[in-house]
Amino acid sequence: MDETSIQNTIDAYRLFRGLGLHYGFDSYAVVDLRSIGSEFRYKQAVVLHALAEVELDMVDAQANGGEDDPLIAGLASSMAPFMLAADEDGEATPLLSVLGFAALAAAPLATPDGQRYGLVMFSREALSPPDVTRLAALYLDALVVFQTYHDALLAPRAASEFSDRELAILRMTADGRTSVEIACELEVSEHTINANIAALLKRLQVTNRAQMTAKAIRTKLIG
Amino acid sequence: MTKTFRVLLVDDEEIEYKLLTKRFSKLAHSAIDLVYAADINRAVELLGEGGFDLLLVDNRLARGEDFRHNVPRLRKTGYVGPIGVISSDLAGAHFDRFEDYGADFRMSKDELDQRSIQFLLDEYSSRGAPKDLDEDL
Repeated sequence: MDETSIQNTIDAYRLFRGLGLHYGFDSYAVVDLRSIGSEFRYKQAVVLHALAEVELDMVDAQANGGEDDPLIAGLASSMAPFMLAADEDGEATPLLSVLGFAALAAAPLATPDGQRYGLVMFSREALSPPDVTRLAALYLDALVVFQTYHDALLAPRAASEFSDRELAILRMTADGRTSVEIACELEVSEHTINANIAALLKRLQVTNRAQMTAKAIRTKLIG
Repeated sequence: MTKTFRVLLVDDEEIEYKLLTKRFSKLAHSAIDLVYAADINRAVELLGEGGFDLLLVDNRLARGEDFRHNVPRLRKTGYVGPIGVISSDLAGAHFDRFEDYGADFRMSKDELDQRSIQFLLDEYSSRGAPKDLDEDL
Protein backbone atom coordinates (compact mmCIF):
# COMPACT_ATOMS: atom_id res chain seq x y z
CA MET A 1 0.00 0.00 0.00
CA ASP A 2 1.24 3.48 -0.77
CA GLU A 3 -0.21 5.37 2.14
CA THR A 4 0.87 4.49 5.66
CA SER A 5 -1.88 5.85 7.88
CA ILE A 6 -3.87 3.24 9.75
CA GLN A 7 -7.47 4.09 10.61
CA ASN A 8 -8.69 0.61 11.53
CA THR A 9 -7.97 -3.12 11.43
CA ILE A 10 -8.49 -3.37 7.67
CA ASP A 11 -5.82 -0.72 7.07
CA ALA A 12 -3.46 -2.67 9.36
CA TYR A 13 -4.25 -5.86 7.45
CA ARG A 14 -3.37 -4.07 4.20
CA LEU A 15 -0.10 -2.71 5.54
CA PHE A 16 1.20 -6.12 6.68
CA ARG A 17 -0.13 -7.80 3.53
CA GLY A 18 1.68 -5.25 1.37
CA LEU A 19 4.88 -5.92 3.31
CA GLY A 20 4.58 -9.67 2.75
CA LEU A 21 3.83 -9.38 -0.96
CA HIS A 22 6.78 -7.01 -1.38
CA TYR A 23 9.09 -9.74 -0.10
CA GLY A 24 7.36 -12.50 -2.07
CA PHE A 25 5.38 -14.11 0.76
CA ASP A 26 1.88 -15.49 0.31
CA SER A 27 0.36 -14.81 3.69
CA TYR A 28 1.11 -13.66 7.22
CA ALA A 29 0.03 -13.71 10.86
CA VAL A 30 0.75 -11.36 13.76
CA VAL A 31 0.85 -13.37 17.00
CA ASP A 32 0.36 -11.99 20.49
CA LEU A 33 2.77 -14.00 22.64
CA ARG A 34 1.26 -13.19 26.03
CA SER A 35 -0.81 -16.36 26.15
CA ILE A 36 1.99 -18.89 25.64
CA GLY A 37 1.43 -21.98 27.73
CA SER A 38 -0.84 -24.98 27.90
CA GLU A 39 -3.88 -22.92 26.99
CA PHE A 40 -2.27 -21.39 23.90
CA ARG A 41 -4.57 -21.30 20.89
CA TYR A 42 -3.66 -19.69 17.57
CA LYS A 43 -7.29 -18.58 17.11
CA GLN A 44 -6.96 -16.35 20.18
CA ALA A 45 -3.29 -15.42 19.90
CA VAL A 46 -3.28 -14.35 16.26
CA VAL A 47 -4.41 -10.73 16.32
CA LEU A 48 -4.11 -10.00 12.62
CA HIS A 49 -3.64 -12.31 9.66
CA ALA A 50 -4.20 -13.09 6.02
CA LEU A 51 -5.52 -16.57 6.69
CA ALA A 52 -9.09 -17.85 6.79
CA GLU A 53 -10.58 -18.20 10.28
CA VAL A 54 -11.32 -21.83 9.53
CA GLU A 55 -7.60 -22.38 8.83
CA LEU A 56 -6.75 -21.24 12.37
CA ASP A 57 -9.35 -23.68 13.72
CA MET A 58 -7.64 -26.43 11.74
CA VAL A 59 -4.23 -25.48 13.17
CA ASP A 60 -5.53 -25.46 16.75
CA ALA A 61 -7.04 -28.89 16.25
CA GLN A 62 -3.51 -30.16 15.49
CA ALA A 63 -1.47 -27.97 17.85
CA ASN A 64 -0.44 -28.99 21.31
CA GLY A 65 0.13 -25.73 23.13
CA GLY A 66 2.67 -23.10 22.25
CA GLU A 67 5.65 -24.43 24.17
CA ASP A 68 6.05 -27.50 21.95
CA ASP A 69 5.75 -25.45 18.81
CA PRO A 70 9.21 -24.46 17.44
CA LEU A 71 7.73 -21.31 15.91
CA ILE A 72 6.25 -20.04 19.16
CA ALA A 73 9.26 -21.20 21.18
CA GLY A 74 11.57 -19.36 18.76
CA LEU A 75 9.55 -16.15 18.86
CA ALA A 76 9.40 -16.25 22.65
CA SER A 77 13.10 -16.90 23.24
CA SER A 78 14.81 -14.88 20.51
CA MET A 79 15.10 -11.27 19.42
CA ALA A 80 16.48 -12.22 15.99
CA PRO A 81 14.43 -13.19 12.91
CA PHE A 82 14.60 -16.79 11.75
CA MET A 83 13.20 -19.17 9.13
CA LEU A 84 11.52 -22.55 9.42
CA ALA A 85 10.87 -25.07 6.68
CA ALA A 86 8.21 -27.75 6.60
CA ASP A 87 9.67 -31.19 7.26
CA GLU A 88 8.42 -34.49 5.95
CA ASP A 89 6.99 -35.46 9.32
CA GLY A 90 5.08 -32.19 9.55
CA GLU A 91 6.66 -31.46 12.93
CA ALA A 92 8.19 -28.05 12.19
CA THR A 93 5.07 -26.17 13.29
CA PRO A 94 1.38 -26.92 12.72
CA LEU A 95 1.07 -23.61 10.88
CA LEU A 96 3.16 -25.08 8.07
CA SER A 97 1.99 -28.68 8.09
CA VAL A 98 -1.73 -27.92 8.38
CA LEU A 99 -1.88 -24.94 6.06
CA GLY A 100 0.34 -26.43 3.39
CA PHE A 101 3.04 -23.75 3.28
CA ALA A 102 6.61 -24.75 2.48
CA ALA A 103 8.40 -22.30 4.77
CA LEU A 104 8.06 -19.25 6.95
CA ALA A 105 10.07 -16.28 8.13
CA ALA A 106 9.43 -15.14 11.70
CA ALA A 107 10.27 -11.80 13.29
CA PRO A 108 10.08 -11.26 17.07
CA LEU A 109 8.56 -7.86 17.91
CA ALA A 110 7.87 -5.92 21.07
CA THR A 111 5.84 -2.89 22.08
CA PRO A 112 7.51 -0.04 24.04
CA ASP A 113 5.97 -1.41 27.24
CA GLY A 114 7.51 -4.83 26.65
CA GLN A 115 4.60 -6.85 25.28
CA ARG A 116 5.94 -9.53 22.95
CA TYR A 117 4.50 -10.19 19.50
CA GLY A 118 5.70 -12.09 16.46
CA LEU A 119 5.23 -11.50 12.74
CA VAL A 120 5.13 -14.71 10.70
CA MET A 121 5.34 -14.61 6.90
CA PHE A 122 4.35 -17.74 4.98
CA SER A 123 5.67 -18.95 1.66
CA ARG A 124 4.40 -21.69 -0.62
CA GLU A 125 7.91 -21.93 -2.05
CA ALA A 126 10.95 -23.20 -0.15
CA LEU A 127 13.20 -20.45 1.24
CA SER A 128 16.44 -22.42 1.16
CA PRO A 129 19.17 -21.55 1.14
CA PRO A 130 18.26 -18.88 3.66
CA ASP A 131 18.80 -15.41 2.24
CA VAL A 132 20.14 -13.56 5.29
CA THR A 133 20.24 -10.16 3.58
CA ARG A 134 16.60 -10.44 2.51
CA LEU A 135 15.60 -11.64 5.97
CA ALA A 136 17.36 -8.67 7.58
CA ALA A 137 15.63 -6.22 5.21
CA LEU A 138 12.27 -7.83 5.92
CA TYR A 139 12.91 -7.56 9.66
CA LEU A 140 13.76 -3.86 9.49
CA ASP A 141 10.63 -3.13 7.46
CA ALA A 142 8.57 -5.30 9.83
CA LEU A 143 9.77 -3.20 12.77
CA VAL A 144 8.57 -0.02 11.03
CA VAL A 145 5.20 -1.49 10.07
CA PHE A 146 4.67 -2.90 13.56
CA GLN A 147 5.50 0.47 15.11
CA THR A 148 2.86 2.09 12.86
CA TYR A 149 0.35 -0.61 13.81
CA HIS A 150 1.15 -0.20 17.49
CA ASP A 151 0.82 3.57 17.47
CA ALA A 152 -2.50 3.45 15.60
CA LEU A 153 -4.30 0.53 17.19
CA LEU A 154 -2.43 -1.13 20.05
CA ALA A 155 -1.24 1.80 22.14
CA PRO A 156 -3.74 2.96 24.76
CA ARG A 157 -5.28 6.34 24.03
CA ALA A 158 -5.29 9.13 26.58
CA ALA A 159 -8.16 8.67 29.03
CA SER A 160 -9.54 12.10 28.29
CA GLU A 161 -9.67 11.76 24.50
CA PHE A 162 -13.13 10.96 23.20
CA SER A 163 -14.24 11.69 19.65
CA ASP A 164 -17.57 13.32 18.81
CA ARG A 165 -18.74 9.98 17.46
CA GLU A 166 -17.80 8.16 20.68
CA LEU A 167 -19.66 10.70 22.79
CA ALA A 168 -22.72 10.41 20.51
CA ILE A 169 -22.61 6.62 20.87
CA LEU A 170 -22.38 6.94 24.66
CA ARG A 171 -25.39 9.27 24.74
CA MET A 172 -27.50 7.07 22.46
CA THR A 173 -26.56 3.91 24.36
CA ALA A 174 -27.60 5.65 27.57
CA ASP A 175 -30.96 6.30 25.86
CA GLY A 176 -31.33 2.55 25.41
CA ARG A 177 -30.75 2.44 21.66
CA THR A 178 -29.32 -0.64 19.98
CA SER A 179 -26.24 -0.75 17.75
CA VAL A 180 -28.39 -0.97 14.62
CA GLU A 181 -30.46 2.05 15.70
CA ILE A 182 -27.31 4.05 16.43
CA ALA A 183 -25.78 2.97 13.10
CA CYS A 184 -28.88 4.17 11.21
CA GLU A 185 -28.80 7.49 13.07
CA LEU A 186 -25.08 8.11 12.47
CA GLU A 187 -25.15 6.63 8.93
CA VAL A 188 -22.34 4.17 9.55
CA SER A 189 -22.24 0.37 9.79
CA GLU A 190 -23.32 -1.69 12.78
CA HIS A 191 -19.78 -3.08 12.79
CA THR A 192 -18.36 0.43 13.24
CA ILE A 193 -20.69 1.07 16.19
CA ASN A 194 -19.79 -2.25 17.82
CA ALA A 195 -16.07 -1.59 17.30
CA ASN A 196 -16.47 1.82 18.93
CA ILE A 197 -18.38 0.33 21.86
CA ALA A 198 -15.78 -2.42 22.30
CA ALA A 199 -13.07 0.26 22.43
CA LEU A 200 -15.11 2.33 24.90
CA LEU A 201 -15.60 -0.68 27.19
CA LYS A 202 -11.85 -1.20 27.23
CA ARG A 203 -11.00 2.45 27.82
CA LEU A 204 -13.58 2.89 30.57
CA GLN A 205 -12.51 -0.45 32.11
CA VAL A 206 -16.02 -1.87 32.23
CA THR A 207 -17.50 -5.07 30.81
CA ASN A 208 -20.93 -4.24 29.43
CA ARG A 209 -23.13 -1.44 28.11
CA ALA A 210 -24.92 -0.80 31.41
CA GLN A 211 -21.62 -0.30 33.24
CA MET A 212 -20.34 1.83 30.37
CA THR A 213 -23.36 4.13 30.59
CA ALA A 214 -23.13 4.38 34.39
CA LYS A 215 -19.43 5.23 34.27
CA ALA A 216 -19.91 7.77 31.46
CA ILE A 217 -22.55 9.57 33.54
CA ARG A 218 -20.57 9.30 36.79
CA THR A 219 -17.45 10.75 35.20
CA LYS A 220 -19.54 13.45 33.45
CA LEU A 221 -18.61 12.34 29.94
CA ILE A 222 -22.31 12.61 29.19
CA GLY A 223 -24.99 14.54 31.08
CA MET B 1 -20.78 -26.19 5.28
CA THR B 2 -19.60 -23.30 3.10
CA LYS B 3 -21.51 -20.10 3.74
CA THR B 4 -22.57 -18.01 0.78
CA PHE B 5 -22.11 -14.24 1.15
CA ARG B 6 -24.08 -11.77 -0.95
CA VAL B 7 -21.82 -8.94 -2.07
CA LEU B 8 -22.92 -5.89 -4.07
CA LEU B 9 -20.35 -4.35 -6.41
CA VAL B 10 -21.06 -0.76 -7.50
CA ASP B 11 -18.78 0.13 -10.38
CA ASP B 12 -19.35 1.82 -13.72
CA GLU B 13 -16.83 -0.51 -15.40
CA GLU B 14 -18.52 -3.86 -15.96
CA ILE B 15 -15.15 -5.46 -16.63
CA GLU B 16 -14.42 -5.07 -12.91
CA TYR B 17 -17.49 -7.20 -12.18
CA LYS B 18 -16.24 -9.89 -14.53
CA LEU B 19 -12.74 -9.79 -13.02
CA LEU B 20 -13.99 -10.04 -9.43
CA THR B 21 -16.49 -12.77 -10.32
CA LYS B 22 -13.60 -14.84 -11.66
CA ARG B 23 -11.32 -14.01 -8.73
CA PHE B 24 -13.91 -14.75 -6.04
CA SER B 25 -14.99 -18.02 -7.65
CA LYS B 26 -11.75 -19.59 -6.42
CA LEU B 27 -12.31 -19.00 -2.69
CA ALA B 28 -11.60 -22.14 -0.67
CA HIS B 29 -13.65 -21.46 2.46
CA SER B 30 -16.56 -19.26 1.39
CA ALA B 31 -18.85 -18.73 -1.57
CA ILE B 32 -19.78 -15.32 -2.92
CA ASP B 33 -22.91 -14.30 -4.80
CA LEU B 34 -21.61 -11.13 -6.48
CA VAL B 35 -24.37 -8.76 -7.59
CA TYR B 36 -23.59 -5.88 -9.91
CA ALA B 37 -24.83 -2.28 -10.06
CA ALA B 38 -23.43 0.08 -12.68
CA ASP B 39 -24.51 3.26 -10.90
CA ILE B 40 -25.62 4.54 -7.55
CA ASN B 41 -29.31 4.63 -8.44
CA ARG B 42 -29.31 0.93 -9.31
CA ALA B 43 -27.38 0.22 -6.09
CA VAL B 44 -30.03 2.04 -4.04
CA GLU B 45 -32.73 -0.01 -5.79
CA LEU B 46 -30.96 -3.27 -5.06
CA LEU B 47 -30.38 -2.34 -1.41
CA GLY B 48 -34.16 -2.04 -1.11
CA GLU B 49 -34.33 -5.78 -1.72
CA GLY B 50 -32.08 -6.37 1.32
CA GLY B 51 -29.83 -9.32 2.08
CA PHE B 52 -26.40 -7.91 1.28
CA ASP B 53 -23.46 -8.86 3.53
CA LEU B 54 -20.96 -6.42 2.03
CA LEU B 55 -20.86 -3.51 -0.44
CA LEU B 56 -17.83 -2.71 -2.58
CA VAL B 57 -18.16 0.77 -4.07
CA ASP B 58 -15.85 2.18 -6.71
CA ASN B 59 -14.54 5.52 -5.57
CA ARG B 60 -15.59 7.46 -8.63
CA LEU B 61 -18.63 6.49 -10.66
CA ALA B 62 -19.61 7.72 -14.11
CA ARG B 63 -21.25 10.96 -12.99
CA GLY B 64 -17.98 11.99 -11.39
CA GLU B 65 -19.05 12.04 -7.76
CA ASP B 66 -16.70 10.19 -5.43
CA PHE B 67 -17.25 8.13 -2.28
CA ARG B 68 -17.84 11.23 -0.18
CA HIS B 69 -21.13 11.65 -2.00
CA ASN B 70 -21.99 8.05 -2.83
CA VAL B 71 -21.44 6.26 0.49
CA PRO B 72 -23.71 8.63 2.48
CA ARG B 73 -26.34 8.13 -0.24
CA LEU B 74 -26.17 4.37 0.26
CA ARG B 75 -26.35 4.79 4.05
CA LYS B 76 -29.53 6.83 3.70
CA THR B 77 -31.27 3.65 2.53
CA GLY B 78 -30.84 2.32 6.10
CA TYR B 79 -28.16 -0.20 5.14
CA VAL B 80 -25.97 -0.80 8.21
CA GLY B 81 -23.72 -3.52 6.81
CA PRO B 82 -20.08 -2.91 5.85
CA ILE B 83 -19.18 -0.69 2.89
CA GLY B 84 -15.73 -0.68 1.34
CA VAL B 85 -14.41 1.99 -1.01
CA ILE B 86 -12.35 0.45 -3.81
CA SER B 87 -10.19 2.33 -6.27
CA SER B 88 -7.25 1.89 -8.58
CA ASP B 89 -5.55 4.74 -6.76
CA LEU B 90 -6.00 5.50 -3.06
CA ALA B 91 -3.75 8.54 -3.05
CA GLY B 92 -5.26 11.67 -1.54
CA ALA B 93 -5.78 12.84 2.00
CA HIS B 94 -9.56 12.50 1.70
CA PHE B 95 -9.19 8.71 1.64
CA ASP B 96 -7.92 8.89 5.22
CA ARG B 97 -11.33 10.23 6.22
CA PHE B 98 -13.36 7.35 4.79
CA GLU B 99 -14.94 6.60 8.17
CA ASP B 100 -16.35 10.14 8.36
CA TYR B 101 -18.45 9.37 5.28
CA GLY B 102 -19.85 6.09 6.58
CA ALA B 103 -17.42 3.71 4.88
CA ASP B 104 -15.79 0.85 6.79
CA PHE B 105 -12.62 0.46 4.81
CA ARG B 106 -10.70 1.40 1.66
CA MET B 107 -8.82 -1.01 -0.53
CA SER B 108 -7.12 -0.76 -3.90
CA LYS B 109 -8.51 -2.98 -6.63
CA ASP B 110 -5.16 -4.74 -6.89
CA GLU B 111 -5.30 -5.68 -3.22
CA LEU B 112 -8.74 -7.23 -3.52
CA ASP B 113 -7.53 -10.79 -4.03
CA GLN B 114 -8.78 -14.08 -2.59
CA ARG B 115 -6.95 -13.65 0.72
CA SER B 116 -8.25 -10.11 1.17
CA ILE B 117 -11.89 -10.88 0.41
CA GLN B 118 -11.73 -13.84 2.79
CA PHE B 119 -10.31 -11.56 5.47
CA LEU B 120 -13.13 -9.06 4.89
CA LEU B 121 -15.81 -11.74 5.07
CA ASP B 122 -14.31 -13.11 8.30
CA GLU B 123 -13.91 -9.64 9.79
CA TYR B 124 -17.54 -8.73 9.20
CA SER B 125 -19.08 -12.08 10.10
CA SER B 126 -17.43 -14.66 12.33
CA ARG B 127 -15.16 -12.24 14.17
CA GLY B 128 -18.13 -9.85 14.35
CA ALA B 129 -18.90 -8.18 17.63
CA PRO B 130 -17.24 -9.26 20.85
CA LYS B 131 -19.46 -11.30 23.19
CA ASP B 132 -19.51 -8.54 25.80
CA LEU B 133 -21.50 -6.37 23.40
CA ASP B 134 -24.77 -8.20 24.09
CA GLU B 135 -27.57 -5.66 23.83
CA ASP B 136 -29.40 -7.04 26.87
CA LEU B 137 -26.62 -6.43 29.35
